[in-house]
Amino acid sequence: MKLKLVSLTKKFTSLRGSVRAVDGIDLEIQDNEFFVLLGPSGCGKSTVLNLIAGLEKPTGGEIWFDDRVVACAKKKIFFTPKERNVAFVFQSYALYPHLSVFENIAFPLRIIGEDVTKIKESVKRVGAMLEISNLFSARPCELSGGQRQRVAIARAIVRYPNVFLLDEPLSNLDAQLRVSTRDELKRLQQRLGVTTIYVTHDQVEAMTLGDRIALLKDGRVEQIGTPDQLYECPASEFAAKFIGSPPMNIFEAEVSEEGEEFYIIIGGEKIKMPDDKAEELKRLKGRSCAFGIRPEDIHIPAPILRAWKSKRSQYLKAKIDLIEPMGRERFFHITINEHRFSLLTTDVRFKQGEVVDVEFDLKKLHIFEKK
Amino acid sequence: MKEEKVKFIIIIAGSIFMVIFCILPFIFMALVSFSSRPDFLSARTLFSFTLKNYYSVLTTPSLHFIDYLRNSLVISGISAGFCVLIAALAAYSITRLSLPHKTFILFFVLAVSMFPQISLVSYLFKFMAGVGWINTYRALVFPYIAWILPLSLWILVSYFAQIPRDLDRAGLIDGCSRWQILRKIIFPVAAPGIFSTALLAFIFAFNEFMFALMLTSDHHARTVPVGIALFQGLHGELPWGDIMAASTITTIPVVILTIMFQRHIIQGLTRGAVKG
Repeated sequence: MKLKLVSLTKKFTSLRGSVRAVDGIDLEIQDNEFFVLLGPSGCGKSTVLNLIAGLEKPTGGEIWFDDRVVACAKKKIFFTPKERNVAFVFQSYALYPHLSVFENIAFPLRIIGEDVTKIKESVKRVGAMLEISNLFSARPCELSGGQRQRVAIARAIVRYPNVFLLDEPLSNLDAQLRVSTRDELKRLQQRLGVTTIYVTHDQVEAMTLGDRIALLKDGRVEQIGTPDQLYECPASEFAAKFIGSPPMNIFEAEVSEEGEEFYIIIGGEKIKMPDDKAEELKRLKGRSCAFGIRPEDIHIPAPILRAWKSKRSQYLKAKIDLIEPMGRERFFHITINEHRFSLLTTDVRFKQGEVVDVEFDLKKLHIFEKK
Repeated sequence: MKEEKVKFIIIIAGSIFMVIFCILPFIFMALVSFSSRPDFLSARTLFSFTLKNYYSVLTTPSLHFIDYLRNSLVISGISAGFCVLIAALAAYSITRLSLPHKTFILFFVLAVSMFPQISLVSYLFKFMAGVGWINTYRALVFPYIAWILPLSLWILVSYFAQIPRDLDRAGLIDGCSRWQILRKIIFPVAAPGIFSTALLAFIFAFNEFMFALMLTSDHHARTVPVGIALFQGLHGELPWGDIMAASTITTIPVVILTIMFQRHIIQGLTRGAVKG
């Protein structure tokens, strides 16, 4: 099932005034795609999901399922969730507390009036798939978080939905379980081949699960792309900060132009920009911009390399304020002339308080226009 | 350690006092009902056990006690049933549907329920006389439903508000209509609350006196509280033994119901108390 959102808008009116939770979103989601809606809380991602599910009516715009309009504010078309045949996994799981696990999973089938033997078959099938067959007679209150999660997913997939919608389904699980469930979810989606839309505020989840990610901010799409695209070429300062852990260093620096060459000045040190960056700076001339560099793109060169490379690169003096060991890597908080940066390295030689030379990988420098 | 002890003693002493304070009238009632000479005002008479009072209450046709009991049970049952049905539907729409001026409706209902009964009863009498319903079940059932509805509504609203909205949404996704959500999800989940509200409504209707006194005239519709109160008029004296025996019998259905739903009632009452 292919999905299309056309300038989708949702306004909420309360006594305090109206809020545009979703503000003109255009999206196209391909058949069988695992699509992630990512954003901070309050960005409207859950509202978009509710609109797709048919739990909310849009204030403006259209929603298409393949070549069928399922919601259009102008023409007053609105299909109910039942007519859209969507499945939804809620953050709270929303299992029916008065029914057993078996009945919970069978519930959607019973509502359509499915044949009893068929219901048994279907429930057994998804129960085996999610390894919860031994829990069929239990009540939801007797289950652990992870088990409830599985039951919720089982209930969602038991009737071959057109679209599979998940609203932060992993946020109530502990860290370890979250990682293993994440893998399973991805595998399950590939096996079922159902178009899936997944809402999360966790960029790691988004990166690992999504075929494509839409980053939302204040009800608008900030950037759409594959996880790699979002990581390598963030479209804005916001996208740069939101994706990646630890987040990208964002800093402001003076730009100076000498003939055809562009320099930026960090910590009193003039650094020459490579050609492609110079061109970008030329384009943005006169506008205020910010620079960004990921922690892994600031290097502390080894002494030998340093002597060898010193002709070609420029080093900056940095003081190490704090070292956070993270196992495979170490996370350094450094200051370069009052500017704070963070960097990631596997080097274990350095101590807190030491002053070292660092080098920016200028090819990986990002330039953002300030709005 | 010492503080703990003092706390313990205070709690125990307080509980004992409360229990005695509440249960003493009942014990007295039961004692008098079993006494062969229920002249309890005189301290000199000795207690002697008898079932005579019960026998007379249950068998004397002119007392109509059985009629009163039947009237009470039927009227209270019907009132409680309808009341809870209406209140549950109203509570669902107030907590779930996009209804304009929800809070206003809730507080208006509360304000209406504040009218003292005595201010309504004369008009009610005129009205019931006008439509010719005096001394029928209808004359009591309709006012009771209206009178108990605010209480039921408030308890159920606070109860329904605690049922997560995601359950409704899950129901919608699974293909339920609003009615199916109500019948298959909300009512079963809220069953303890609905039961305890029904029981409270029943007790309220069962104990009601004023409307029953004004709107009924004989055993065809008169309820137990009024019936017992009017025992005295029948014999020219105060038949305390009969009165107490009748009262004791009357408490039995309520006690049975309360014991049956004890756990649910406590839950329901505290929920209502905290939220409403």
